Amino acid sequence: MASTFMGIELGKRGIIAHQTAIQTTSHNITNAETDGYSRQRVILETEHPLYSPTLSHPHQAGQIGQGAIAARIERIRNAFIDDKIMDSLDSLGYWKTRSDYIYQIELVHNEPSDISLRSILDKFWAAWEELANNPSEIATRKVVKEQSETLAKTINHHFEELKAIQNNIENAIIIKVKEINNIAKKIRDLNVEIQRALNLGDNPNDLMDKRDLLIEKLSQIVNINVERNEKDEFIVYIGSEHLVQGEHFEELKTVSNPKKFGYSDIIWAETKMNVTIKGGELKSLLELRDNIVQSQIDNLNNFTVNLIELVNEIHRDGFGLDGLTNRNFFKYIPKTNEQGLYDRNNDGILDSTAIFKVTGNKILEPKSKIGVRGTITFDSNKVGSNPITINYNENDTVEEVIQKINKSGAEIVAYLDHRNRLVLKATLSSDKNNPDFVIRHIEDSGDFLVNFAGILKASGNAGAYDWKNTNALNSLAVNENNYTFTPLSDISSWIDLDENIKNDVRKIAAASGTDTTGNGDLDVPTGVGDGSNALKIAELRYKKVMVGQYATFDEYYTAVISEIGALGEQAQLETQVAENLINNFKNLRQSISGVNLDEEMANLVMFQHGYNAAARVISIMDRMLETIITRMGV
Amino acid sequence: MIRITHNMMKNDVVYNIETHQENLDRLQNNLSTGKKVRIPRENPISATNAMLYRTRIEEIKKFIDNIEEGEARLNFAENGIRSIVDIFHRLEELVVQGANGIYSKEDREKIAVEVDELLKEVVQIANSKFKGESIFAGYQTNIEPFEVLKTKPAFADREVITKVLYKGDIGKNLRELEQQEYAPVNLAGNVLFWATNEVVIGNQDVSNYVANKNHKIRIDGKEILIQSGDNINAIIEKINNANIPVRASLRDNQFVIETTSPHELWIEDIEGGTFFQDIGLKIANQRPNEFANNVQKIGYNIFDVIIKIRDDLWKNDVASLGSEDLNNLQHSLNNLLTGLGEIGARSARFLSVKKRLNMNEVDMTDILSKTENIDIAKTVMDLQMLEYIHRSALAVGARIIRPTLIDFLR
Repeated sequence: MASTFMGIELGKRGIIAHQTAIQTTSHNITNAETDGYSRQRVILETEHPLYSPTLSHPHQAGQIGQGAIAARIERIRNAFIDDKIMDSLDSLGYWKTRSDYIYQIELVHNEPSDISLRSILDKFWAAWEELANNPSEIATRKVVKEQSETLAKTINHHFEELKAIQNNIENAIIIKVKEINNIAKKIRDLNVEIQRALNLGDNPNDLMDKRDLLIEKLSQIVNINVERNEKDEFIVYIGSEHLVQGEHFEELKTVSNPKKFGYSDIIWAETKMNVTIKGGELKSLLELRDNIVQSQIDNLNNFTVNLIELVNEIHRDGFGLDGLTNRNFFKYIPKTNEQGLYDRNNDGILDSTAIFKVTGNKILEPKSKIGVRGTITFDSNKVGSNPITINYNENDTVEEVIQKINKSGAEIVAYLDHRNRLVLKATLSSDKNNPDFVIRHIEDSGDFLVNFAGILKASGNAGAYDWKNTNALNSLAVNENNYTFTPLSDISSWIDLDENIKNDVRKIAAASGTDTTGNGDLDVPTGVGDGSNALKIAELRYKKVMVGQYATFDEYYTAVISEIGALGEQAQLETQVAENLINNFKNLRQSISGVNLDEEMANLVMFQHGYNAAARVISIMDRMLETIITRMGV
Repeated sequence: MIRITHNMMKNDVVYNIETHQENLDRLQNNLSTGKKVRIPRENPISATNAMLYRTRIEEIKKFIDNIEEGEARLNFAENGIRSIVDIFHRLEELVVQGANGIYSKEDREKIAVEVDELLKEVVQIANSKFKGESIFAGYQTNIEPFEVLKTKPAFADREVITKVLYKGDIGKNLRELEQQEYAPVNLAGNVLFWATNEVVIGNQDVSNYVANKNHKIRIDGKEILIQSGDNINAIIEKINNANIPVRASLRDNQFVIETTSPHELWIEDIEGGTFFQDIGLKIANQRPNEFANNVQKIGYNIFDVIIKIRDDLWKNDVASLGSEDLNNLQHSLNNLLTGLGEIGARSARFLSVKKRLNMNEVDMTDILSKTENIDIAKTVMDLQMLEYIHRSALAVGARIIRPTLIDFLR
């Protein structure tokens, strides 16, 4: 027979179970807005029935229920959706960061508008043309000087702004790595707590919510994989290495890399191995720093080096009002010593020759047939691959051979200068093991570059020019007026007018001259009223002078802007796509894990009634006992 | 059935409102700046096109500037030449008068004085300056291109101009009219102020001359390459085939070079060459229009013509006044008129290029505006549409967020 007080006990259980349910519902309601919170549900179960195989058993109905208990509190969550969100967050982090920084680059260019590098360049050319119109006027010379200084300052400014963006990105990388470590540490700590709770048989729902939230934050910074299936260990991977494994976490570190201007590489603190980063904000930041911003800086340098050298090349041939010649217009600082040598591998030995440009000493007719046959060999663009060869034959015109060279994809371009001499010029190098703006190898099996254009002394491998030789200049058929050494790096940071020009605008070489001695150098000026040299400089804007692989300055600049615009457009679109995707997934998750207040209120009412009813059970029991005790007593 | 939570509804409403606000911001920005594209990413193709159009417009403006300045110079030169032409018409009258037998020696001397004054005026015009630059001096704009030599001849009673030498050069002051299309805006004095063809006759036997190295000569600004082993006939042929108004020949084994249109010969050895020195035409470091002493140089500039008229009047040489002088005057006048014609032709070309450029500028400005300016009507419509949607979104948001079960529970 059941105990007299069993009913009270049962009522108490009902009260406790419903209290728990009400508590959990309140927890849900109060956390309705909490980030990362998943709704919880109390699983009510029947208490084990009272089993009393006693004498009385046959006289009573079998197993008397013992009421309800709150068996456990479950978290309602779908790990599959979490993984999906993690993937999309990684791409959102990537594209959003990319879009934000490219936006900054676009602002630097300030295109399309009336105040940009391009419009200042337009004014620069116009100033030269005005000088050509009025070569003897000091006023127009001053305008040329002022416009050129504005141009130089604008280029400096562009460089500094791009560099500042690059430095900001570097800082962001260092901060993000710290953040990863921070989060990883927190995940580790949570792992410990969660494991402890699990071992006690509890459901640490809120801790798991916290951990999931951290994982989400982490996935936006870097691409991670999460292994949840392991019973005892929760593992977070970056690539194939684990960042957190149960109670362990591997620290990441940033180390400055001298090959990348001192910018940081990310390594595992313990193994010193590079971290493979394939997505997230960090990947985006690394790409921005090493590729996108760097290529902007490289492009600016390429633009500047060509501007400086092409203007100087013509300017050196011209004459100032003082009748003197062979002066640079822009300041030029070579990275080499006076013999054209520099130290390639930083071992303190001058081991390589670095020339940026070499001009032949023969005046060529662009449309005439060359009448010789052979093969030109240039260095490959990638260290270790096959050299680039260009075949030419008797029926090619000079122009056609130039086209063949420019189309070969070699990092050397060719054009005819203002006196129709063949020029070979180095471009940026795609393989960063090679220096920029250095002619690495020129070889011609035939006579084109040798006697025809007058660049090399001899044909064949024996006569080749190679930058790794310290006496490479000896293989050139021209003297020091006809080649230019490679400039000091980051030319855009130090572009300026030559001191001579700054101090005296009369030295700007507007006039042309005559070669009276026959040594190829113009030595007698034509006169103060001659502006033809200034006109030649103004003409540079249309001339196919090959700025890198682009034919003209305008073409080059347009390509740079349209490229950054296209990159920005793509990044913005992809960000929107990722945002949409995440919104949808988050809604899906909300649909499963989110708190619906109406639902909770309904539950609350229900549990309240349950609670009230259970209380009523106790009071009924109370009355029953009273009946027995007071009425049946003596 | 999808379970909808209050957070989902809230998120959707917030997301939509944010998207609308972003779009509203963009449209409002477009309207307030009038530009479609603020940064390249908004439309990379329009952005780069707009850049190219702007560059082109700047360029056209410069070309128009160039042309207008060039026109001013040409007009100035034209006025100068017209004055000289007027003077020549007066000279013509005076010469005809002087050649008339009824006038006395004294009358001719009086005419001679007037001619001398006219000569001074012509020299002054030939040395005239535009914006401080001599316009008939080629590149030598800082000097007076025509230098006068004064002496007192036996027949005159005072010191007079006896020779006018050209110290300018043949430089062409070019203006860019269109991309890489150039036109000169000056006329060199050695062409404009010449009356007759010039003949230069050497005094050496050059029949055995053979060039011993490759070098260049320059005639009237045109470079001619002489190769080692070329004999005199080969060189003469090269000169005659060089497409310049000059003809070279051998006369009694002597080198003769003459112009085929009236201008002063302009010959130089360059790049270390010595051809003209070798054949005795020039000595080292001479100006291109100067020759060795024993070289015969025949030809008049217009000053020579006036000087001769004046001297003939003074000398009472009626015969030469009536024939040779009148003839020379006619040549001078013809050459001046040719110069005027050339200026007229250039002005016409400038004008037509300017018209084209003006039209081009209008077109470019138009296409630039189409590329980067907003269509205001359309943008305003878009804005209003968006505002309407935004309002609805706000209204809906306010409605769905408000009522919950709590409102209905006591």
